[in-house]
Amino acid sequence: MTAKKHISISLFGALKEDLGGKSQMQFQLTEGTTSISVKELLETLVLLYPEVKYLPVCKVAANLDVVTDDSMIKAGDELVLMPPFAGG
Amino acid sequence: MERLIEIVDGSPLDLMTYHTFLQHVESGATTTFLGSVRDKNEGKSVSLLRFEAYEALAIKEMRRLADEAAAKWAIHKLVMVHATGDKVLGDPVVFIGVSTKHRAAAFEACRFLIDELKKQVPIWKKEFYANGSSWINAHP
Repeated sequence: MTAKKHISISLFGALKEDLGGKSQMQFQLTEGTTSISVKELLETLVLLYPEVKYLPVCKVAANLDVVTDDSMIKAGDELVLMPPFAGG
Repeated sequence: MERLIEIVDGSPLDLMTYHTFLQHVESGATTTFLGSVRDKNEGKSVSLLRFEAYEALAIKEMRRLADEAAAKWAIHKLVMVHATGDKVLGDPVVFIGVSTKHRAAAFEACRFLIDELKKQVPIWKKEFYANGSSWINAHP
């Protein structure tokens, strides 16, 4: 079985809309790596999509927990990118 | 403490059910907060609000806030409900309610729950106007 080399990312709200309207995207890990920190992943996405204004301020959830910048995300993990909350 | 916590997708909020749920023989006070769609925001005329939630985490966070409130105040019954989907002017979108022995705790807990819901629960809203739309990125 081939090892997964990508991270699945679910998108909500303005981020979903600004990243093409799809509720999911995949982040390909660099060849030879199996994990990446949340900070590195967000920095890479900001470079790839500089026009998406909520990327630098979004919160990230993994496995139903909000995670911090230094959390490590492994290939096969499912992430959720969340723009600033606005309930109520 | 008994609690009713849910995200209601599409259908109207059942306010009567929430009020009935909050009744408790040891509670002398029930405080509720109802948030509705209003017609203007920052000078723009609003015609519709579209709400979206990351439901699994939203429910988890609302339960956590309910636990925090229960640790601070002696609450008998608690309701936290938020709508998702499209809502027109006047539609209820969020209902918070608590029942306690006396009114001070009920007011304080209700205020705490709605304020923290706005900050900590993954729910988003998009405003629609006569000419365009925009996602709201703050929780005033």
